[in-house]
Amino acid sequence: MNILEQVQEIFRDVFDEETLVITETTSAKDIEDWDSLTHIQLVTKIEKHFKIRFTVSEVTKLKQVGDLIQLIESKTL
Amino acid sequence: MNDLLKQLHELKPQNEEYTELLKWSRRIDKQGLSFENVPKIKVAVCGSRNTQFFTKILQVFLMNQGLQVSLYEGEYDSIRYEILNPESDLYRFQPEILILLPNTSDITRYPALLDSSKQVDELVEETAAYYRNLWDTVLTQNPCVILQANFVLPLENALDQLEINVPYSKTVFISKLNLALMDKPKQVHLIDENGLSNEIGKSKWFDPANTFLNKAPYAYEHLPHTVWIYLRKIMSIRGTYRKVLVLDLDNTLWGGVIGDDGVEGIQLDPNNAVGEAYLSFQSSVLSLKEKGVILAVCSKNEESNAKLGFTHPNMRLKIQDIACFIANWNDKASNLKTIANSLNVKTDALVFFDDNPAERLIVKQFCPEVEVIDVPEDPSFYSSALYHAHAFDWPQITKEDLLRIKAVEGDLERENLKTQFVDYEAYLKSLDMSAVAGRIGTAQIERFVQLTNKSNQFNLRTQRVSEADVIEMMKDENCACISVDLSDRFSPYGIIACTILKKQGSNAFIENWVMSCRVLNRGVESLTLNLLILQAKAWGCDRLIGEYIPSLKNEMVSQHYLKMGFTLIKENTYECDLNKHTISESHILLKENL
Repeated sequence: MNILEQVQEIFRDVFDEETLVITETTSAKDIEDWDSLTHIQLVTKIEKHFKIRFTVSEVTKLKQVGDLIQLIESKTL
Repeated sequence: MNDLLKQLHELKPQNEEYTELLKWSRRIDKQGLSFENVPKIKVAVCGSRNTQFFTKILQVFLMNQGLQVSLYEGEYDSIRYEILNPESDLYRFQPEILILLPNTSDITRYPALLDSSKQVDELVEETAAYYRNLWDTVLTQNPCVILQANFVLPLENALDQLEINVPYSKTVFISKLNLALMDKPKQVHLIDENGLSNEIGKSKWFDPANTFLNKAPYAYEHLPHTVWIYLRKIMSIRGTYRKVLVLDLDNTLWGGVIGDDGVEGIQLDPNNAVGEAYLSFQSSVLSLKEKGVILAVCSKNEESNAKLGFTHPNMRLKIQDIACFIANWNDKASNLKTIANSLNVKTDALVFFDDNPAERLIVKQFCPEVEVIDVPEDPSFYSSALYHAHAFDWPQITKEDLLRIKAVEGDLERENLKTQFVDYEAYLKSLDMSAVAGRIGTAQIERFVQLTNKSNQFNLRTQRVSEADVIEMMKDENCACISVDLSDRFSPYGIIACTILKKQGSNAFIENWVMSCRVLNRGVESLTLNLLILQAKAWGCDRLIGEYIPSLKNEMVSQHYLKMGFTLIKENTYECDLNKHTISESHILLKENL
């Protein structure tokens, strides 16, 4: 599974929607339940899954899935 | 129950990740999950930290326990506003339970460097007084139970090793403040978040990024454990807690198998690491017994062999410590039922400790209501496993808990006495029972609440009360909280019966009547009725009205009022005409009126 697919699995888990599909441009306005609270859960799950830690400034700058993927790539290389 | 509710019920939320619990919270909201015919409990959460996840996860825990809950969450950093403003939404909500979550960062004034102990103590007192004032304000305006987190000692401190060597350090100040908060009204229960942070390890507990990002004082991964403490407190205040520890013998209390190895062969050597581990576990068990936990043995053994183990000179547990001893070859699930029956408790009061995973599995499967402790392979960790399960996290320890152990031991002697009498009346006389009874005072409140909330079987209306409720009722002249404190020639029992009587015009209504099943058929029932009649007559009432509300567990008292000479007036409602009824004789000597 590539990073996007792995992240998609995490999104599906957090939002409890087995068929959810995300792309690099998916952002909070595309997913109804993506609010500040689910955002925290996404970050926790992603950090745990990829065994990485985002800095506070990185977390606050995340706007869309593409940002996430880039960050994960930069930290797991 | 629908499938989702069933799944939720089977969840062990304390073992789940916080993200999983939040998912459950959303499912509950989205699907409108709720239990039918379950009364709602009203819980409010106010904190000077982010409480959103805490509140959501608390709801999952409460529903997991089969409780329907109505929650109110104060705004961020709203403790002072909600409590000091009499018009606040908190008071409009009228919580039964108020959870206050202050933060160590709320403390703005610390001792100055070089302050004396006396100056430090004054500041401690001043800070504690602020919280006591908040509690008093709440309790006057809205009687309820308050759960408040204590202050978590920080991990990093400017004074390093001096922290514990000088009186003016933050470490000393916060520790003293936590102790000072112990001076509190009975309705306030402190929750040891600092203790939890120690258990988890402070370097794991704190997460500065989470604090700055989300205003959360600790890493969210610890939410399930944190909420679990609050849940246990709420459950135990409501009377749901365990009373009996059921122990296996071979490789649980000692190393080896008594049937094969004999009394000389079992491992209990204090000079051997393994023997020491078993002995240390026995000491832990004894310290639970001291606080009132009833001990039972459930072992696959010949009874004579099993008891032989207790003759080992190094045994710390003695055969007299065991209130119920079952050793046979039956399956443990049915033996647990026998144990519960003989101790007059339900199986949901049992905690099972057995080194054999197969036995644990059987019990989990056939008695899911029993708490099964996950016993580690190495006996060195038995004590930790026992403590970390927090199975006996009681809301208070009363005189009665400590007396119960004596009474259970006295039961054997009482049984022996019973066989000497053919006539039950003569047996009752020979017990030399005496009672101190009447309307309760402050000293009885704690036990009154405990017995009222934990009695399930002898409980006519299953009305639960909080200490706050009882304090209010004691002030009300149209209300009487009556208790009976019993002793016999073998042991004192403490308070074993509690009733609440309410004057409603010319009727006196029995709001609640509970009794400990340990003293069933001893004449306490008629003594209690006599007290109710006297109180009703003192109010000038003509009739005493009793009602039976069936619950899952109180079938045993369905005919209670008929047995007591009441007449049925409508379904489950009975009356006793006070102008006709005469006080019945009792074998219990009323020594003293409260």
